[in-house]
Amino acid sequence: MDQIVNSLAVGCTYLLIALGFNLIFGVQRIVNLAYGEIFMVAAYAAAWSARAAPGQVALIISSAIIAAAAAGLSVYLCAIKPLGEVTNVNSPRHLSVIVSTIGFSIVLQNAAILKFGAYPQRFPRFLGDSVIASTVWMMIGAVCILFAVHMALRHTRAGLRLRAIADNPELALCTGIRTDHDKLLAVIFSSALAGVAALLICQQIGVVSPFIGSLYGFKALVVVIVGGLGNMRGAAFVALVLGSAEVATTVWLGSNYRDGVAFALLIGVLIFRNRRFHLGQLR
Amino acid sequence: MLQVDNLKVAYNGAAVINGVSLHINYDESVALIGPNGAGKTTIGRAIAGLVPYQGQIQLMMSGGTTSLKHLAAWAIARSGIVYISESTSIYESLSVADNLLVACAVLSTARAAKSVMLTNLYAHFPFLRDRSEQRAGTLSGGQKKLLAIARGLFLIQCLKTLSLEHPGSVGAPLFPLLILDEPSHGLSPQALDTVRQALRDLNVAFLLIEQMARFALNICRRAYVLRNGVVVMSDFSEAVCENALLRSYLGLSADRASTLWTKS
Repeated sequence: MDQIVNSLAVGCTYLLIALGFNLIFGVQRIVNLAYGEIFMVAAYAAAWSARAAPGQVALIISSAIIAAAAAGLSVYLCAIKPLGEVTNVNSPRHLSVIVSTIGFSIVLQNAAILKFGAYPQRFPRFLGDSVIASTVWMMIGAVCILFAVHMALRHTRAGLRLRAIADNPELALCTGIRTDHDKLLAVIFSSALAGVAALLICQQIGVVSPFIGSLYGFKALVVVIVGGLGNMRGAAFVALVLGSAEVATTVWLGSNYRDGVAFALLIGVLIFRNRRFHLGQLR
Repeated sequence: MLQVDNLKVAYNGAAVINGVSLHINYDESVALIGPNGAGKTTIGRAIAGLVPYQGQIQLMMSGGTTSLKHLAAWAIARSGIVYISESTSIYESLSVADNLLVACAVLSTARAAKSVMLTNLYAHFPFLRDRSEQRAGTLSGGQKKLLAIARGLFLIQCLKTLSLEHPGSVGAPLFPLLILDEPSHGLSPQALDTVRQALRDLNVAFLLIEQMARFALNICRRAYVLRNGVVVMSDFSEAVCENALLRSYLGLSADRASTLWTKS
C-alpha cells in the first residue's frame, strides 16, 4: 500500500512538470530544455520568500509563479525568439534552439550555484507539516492542474486558438490568429505551470538545490517523448507508469538504479515501437 | 477593389511571378487559370501575406487605399481575405465544429449571431452538422475540402457581422474575398455545385485558382490566364473560352492539336 501511494506521488511530480513542457512544445514545436531551470528558479523564489515572510502562503505561491513566468519569458526572448520561427522539428533551426536552451539552462543553473551555493537547502513545508500531508497536497494539486489545463484547452477561446496553432501554424495565421501573441501567452502560461509544479514538488521533498531543474527536466522530457509530444493524456499516463517503475526499482534493485529507469524506458519505447514524434495534437 | 500591381515573387532567387497585375472588384468572381507551374498558387499566397514579394497589393475602398504589403497574414485574414490552400486547409486534430469555431475564438462574435450563422452554413453543408463532433482528420478527402471552404465562409460571415455591429473593430477595411486554390481537385461535380451555391447565397466574392479551366470559366465572370509567371490573357470568361489558341492550350477543345497549329 505504501509503495502504491509512493508510486502515485512520484508519478505526480513528473506529471506536474511534463504538463507545462508539453504545452510549450505543442504550441511552439520547440523542445525547451531550459524548462527544468524555470522550475528551479521558481523553487528558489518560493524558498526565499518563505524565509523572508514565513507563513504567508499567498505570497509564497505568487512569488513562485511570477518568478517562473519571468524566467520563462526571458528564456523565450533571449534563447528562442532571436533564432527565428521554428515550424517543424525537422528544420535545422530546431537544433539551434535545443543548443541555445541548453546553454541558457547552464547559465541559470550556475547563477543559482553562485547565489545560493551548490548544497541543497531546506524548503518549507508550507502546506502541511508531515510527509503525508504534503504528499496529499501535491497529489491533489497535480490532479487539479491536469484537470484545469484540460478544461482551459478544451473550453476557452484562448485554448481553442492554442490548439489551432499547435495543429497548423500557417493555417492559424490565415484564420486571423495573432500567433506571435498567442505563443507568448503559451510561454507565460506554461512557465507559470512550472512555478506551481515547483511549489507542490518542493514542499513535498522538502529541499531545493540548483540541480533539481535538470533532474526533473530530463525526466519530464522522457515522459513527454514517450507519451507523445503535445499529448496531455499520454503524458499523464506515462508519468504514472514511470513513477511506479521507479518505485518498483528502488524496492527491488535499490535506489542506485532508480534514475536509469526513465532512460531505459525511453530507449525501449523508441526502439521497440519505432515511434515517430507525435506532433500537433495538443489534447 | 483588390488591386495587384506588377507583382514579382522569387523563391531562392528563381523568379516565379514576373510582374503580374490584376484586380478583383467587390462581390466579383474571378478565375485564375493556367497550367502547372504557372504561378497561380504563389499569387494566392502573396495576396494572403504568406510569401514576400515585390510590387504592390492594395485594397482600394471608398474610404481610402490600404497596402497589404506591410500587414501580417493574420491582419489580412481579418480584413476578410481568406486563403484556402489546396492541401492543408483544415485543422486535422480538431473536431469539425471546432474547425469552424476557431473563427469565433479570434473574434468576439456575439453568441446569438454565431448560432444563426452556423445554422446558415449547415443548411448548405448538412454533413458538417452530422459530423460536428468527429475529428476533422477522419473525414474523407472531399469532405475535408468542403470543410475547408465552409471554414473560410464562416470566418468571412463572422467578420461581416462583427463589422456591422462594431464598425472599425476589425482594424483593416473589410473586403470579403475567398481565395480558393484548386477546389475542383478531389471534389465531385455535385459537391462543386454545393460550393457554387453556397458562394452565391452567402454573397462572397472569390478568386478561383484552377487548372480545370472549364469549371472555372463556367462559374466566374472574368478570368486571367497565367503562364510562366505572366498574365497572357485577361478578359470576360466567354471571351477567354472563345479564344481558340487558349482553348487548345487549356484543353477545352476536342481537336486541340489541329487548332493549336492552325492558329499559330
